[in-house]
Amino acid sequence: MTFLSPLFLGAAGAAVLPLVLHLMAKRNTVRMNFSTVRFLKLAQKQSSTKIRMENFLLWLLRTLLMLLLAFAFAKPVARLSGHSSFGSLLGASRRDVAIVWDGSYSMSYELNGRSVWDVSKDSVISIIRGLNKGDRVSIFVAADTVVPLIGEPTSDLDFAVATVKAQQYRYTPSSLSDAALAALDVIKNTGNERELFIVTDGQNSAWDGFRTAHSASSGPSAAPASSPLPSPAAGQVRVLSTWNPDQVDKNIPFFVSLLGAKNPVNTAPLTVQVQPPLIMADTAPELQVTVGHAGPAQQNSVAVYVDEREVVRRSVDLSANTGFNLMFTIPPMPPGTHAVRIQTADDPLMLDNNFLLLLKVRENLPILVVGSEEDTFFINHALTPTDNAPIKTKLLAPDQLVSETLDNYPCVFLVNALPLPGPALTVLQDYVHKGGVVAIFPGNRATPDDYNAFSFMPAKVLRIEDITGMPERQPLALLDPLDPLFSGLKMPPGASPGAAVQRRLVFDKLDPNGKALIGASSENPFLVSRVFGTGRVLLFSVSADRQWSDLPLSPFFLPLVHQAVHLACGIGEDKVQVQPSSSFVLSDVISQVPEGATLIAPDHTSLPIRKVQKEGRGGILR
Amino acid sequence: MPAAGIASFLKPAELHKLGRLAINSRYVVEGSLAGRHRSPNKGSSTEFAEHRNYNPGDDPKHIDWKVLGRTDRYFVRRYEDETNLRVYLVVDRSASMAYASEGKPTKYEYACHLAAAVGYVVVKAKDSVGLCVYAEKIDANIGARNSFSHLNNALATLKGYKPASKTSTAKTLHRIADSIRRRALVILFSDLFDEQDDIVRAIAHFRKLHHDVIVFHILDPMEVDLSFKKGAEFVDMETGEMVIVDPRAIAEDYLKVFGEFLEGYRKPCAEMNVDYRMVKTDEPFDTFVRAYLEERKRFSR
Repeated sequence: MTFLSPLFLGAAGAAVLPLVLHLMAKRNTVRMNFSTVRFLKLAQKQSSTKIRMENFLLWLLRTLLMLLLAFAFAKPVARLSGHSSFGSLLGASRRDVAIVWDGSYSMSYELNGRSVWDVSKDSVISIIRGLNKGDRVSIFVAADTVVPLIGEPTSDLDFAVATVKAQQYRYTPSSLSDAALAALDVIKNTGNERELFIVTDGQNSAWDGFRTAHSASSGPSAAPASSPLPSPAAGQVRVLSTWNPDQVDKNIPFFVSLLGAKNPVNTAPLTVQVQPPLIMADTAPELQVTVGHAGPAQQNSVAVYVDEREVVRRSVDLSANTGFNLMFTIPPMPPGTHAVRIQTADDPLMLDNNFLLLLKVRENLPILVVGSEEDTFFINHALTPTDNAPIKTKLLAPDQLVSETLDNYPCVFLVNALPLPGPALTVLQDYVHKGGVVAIFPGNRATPDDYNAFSFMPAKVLRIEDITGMPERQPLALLDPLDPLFSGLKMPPGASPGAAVQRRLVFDKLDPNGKALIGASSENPFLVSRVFGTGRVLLFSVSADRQWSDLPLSPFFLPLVHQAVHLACGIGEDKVQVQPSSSFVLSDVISQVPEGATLIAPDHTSLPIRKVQKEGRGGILR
Repeated sequence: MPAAGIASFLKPAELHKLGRLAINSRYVVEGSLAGRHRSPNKGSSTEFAEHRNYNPGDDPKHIDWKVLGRTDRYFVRRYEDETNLRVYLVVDRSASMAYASEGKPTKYEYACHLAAAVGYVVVKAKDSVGLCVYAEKIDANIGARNSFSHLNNALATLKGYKPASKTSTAKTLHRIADSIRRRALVILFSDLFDEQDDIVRAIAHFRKLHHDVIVFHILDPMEVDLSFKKGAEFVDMETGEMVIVDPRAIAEDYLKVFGEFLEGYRKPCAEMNVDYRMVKTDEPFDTFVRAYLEERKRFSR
């Protein structure tokens, strides 16, 4: 017999309570005058034996009651062997046991020299070894998807133990509710006695799934590639993404083993923001690191490694259970891709102490400008104000656009380049869809239909409007200052956005994915934008020369053009960050991932890779 | 009009109820005045008693001429004498009489009211009433007279005493019995918490002297049924002795023991033709007196 809450056995000490209360009651008797105690004494003498017996029985009953309560609260569990005569007499039947094993990264927490994962492994093995011959077991690991270690119940308990012993913890958060539903689904109609065991460290996040419906939709069960997990052929499991108690058979008892630290101590870098997004060889980038801390107040240190060379280290005094931000400035780096690692000091949960990211440092930045030399005069000068500017522009005539490889450029400026031939439209649309940025300045060559021929336009162009009379300078307002286009925008001192407009594009309703970013005093937006695929389109209402407005001469023009380039670098460039317990699609970073590839972290540890089919994209998830 | 002594015990309405009642002795009594009670002496009533030989000096008007005609011998007719009743109220004022459960009068207060009611009935019927108050010894002994002023004085004396000290009922009763010369009605108001056999012997002493005896055994309801809700340390009001008991646990045996105690008086009193009544202090005393006297009148016919 075992006890699920053995601490309550300590409450058996309360069995002395009746005796104490009895003695206290005797001591606290009230004194009272009575005419004569002669008859009381006589009656007491006659009743003494009976009273003593009654008192004894009452004490015995109360003591037994207290012991029984303590016993009941300790939740005793008795297993009767199906082969024993007593078990047979009681009709002990076969059991189908489903085990949900929390495989989240928090299980790597070190507690008393052992990881919680190892402790949980022992717990799972002891559950399996507690089964009788003929009982069946199925095991599900709750990772970010449900991993059926043994999807179909098996009576081969030795195999189950061996499978459990071979497991390693995951690098993902866990979805216990999905795993529990999957496990319940497997033992739903077996006809035997059924039990569900959940072995977890009981971290709060793991239980969220039991309370709220979450939208994370899991596709077909994960197909591990290089991990030691068995193939999904072991069991096709229906995975339900929301916890619904009505789906649970009330006759199936749940047993939850809560392992791990009651008040875990953990410090980890959570997020990193890099400024500026475009890093050139002479740029000293700033990293804003958010560090989370759970546990009591303590001293810690945060270090930044670039290419595994420590460049900055800072000591911090952490308050209890709080987070904080740190700003690091790292020295300029040579052109190329650099692995950056932000590391907090060792703690019981080592797995999330490192935050990895890649920084790409550029020597120069190629930008494609499509249009005539005359039309692109101001753009060229804005992009390359000096001879040694990091941005290198390439001027291209509109009819040559089809033959150019656009993937080499993060950003393309179309300056009075419309109309374009049909193939060029397709090339541009593909380019934007894959993450490129196209900035379009209108001109006199194009009609409204030429703009509307593009499927990625932020708004339909109604007409080209001439404004009669003396042009007046209109102030320009940033309609969405939080848009990435304006991130880090710096205006010259004393300058305010504005332009005197003589001619402009008049827009119809915005596309559902489009939005106005800069507004003029009139209702017609000055700049509209649209996200298309993973890229973006910017459409100005005025041209990039002086014929439509004086925008090119305004102090707002140069920063705005540079912001478009920065936006393009921010969107299209490799921006790889590896957070604790997160996954990313490797094929988004490396176009061709060879089979059996190994991912090596900057600290030279090997990271697991597995194939998945997610959101319609084939790829390799870490 | 009753004087202030009675008024301190009885209200006018109660006096009115008691006014028409009378207490009779079941035996002949020796009074000092002519009354409505039978006397052991022969007197001048119309009730024939016996014949006696004529002796010189007897009044010739008492010669029974019919008997002389039949027997030729002189006989004198003799008649019953009728006298008044002398009632002695004997009140116990031992410490145990001070007991009262919640909302009830003390047994002593109840005994005083009862004695006042009986005394009023006695005097109203032109009979004499006397008073004895005792505890360990006789504290007050007032002779019998048949006036309201006497009754008032006696009741004022009674009111002046408070229950205290130990009891010695049997010994005191013997002394009282010795002090009453003529046959009388003795009414005892007590809880009788003393040696039972001695008290019974003392009552027998009264009977031996041809006194009519009424015993009002006054008890508090709590003494009778022991209906306490909680256990307590009980302190004897006379001896100071203490005992811790849970009344609920011993209630059954207590009722048995106390029943035997009551029976120990009821049975010998019945054998001695002593009128024994157990009275609980939660019973209105005027109702009790009225019911008792009417019952006594009915049985004495």
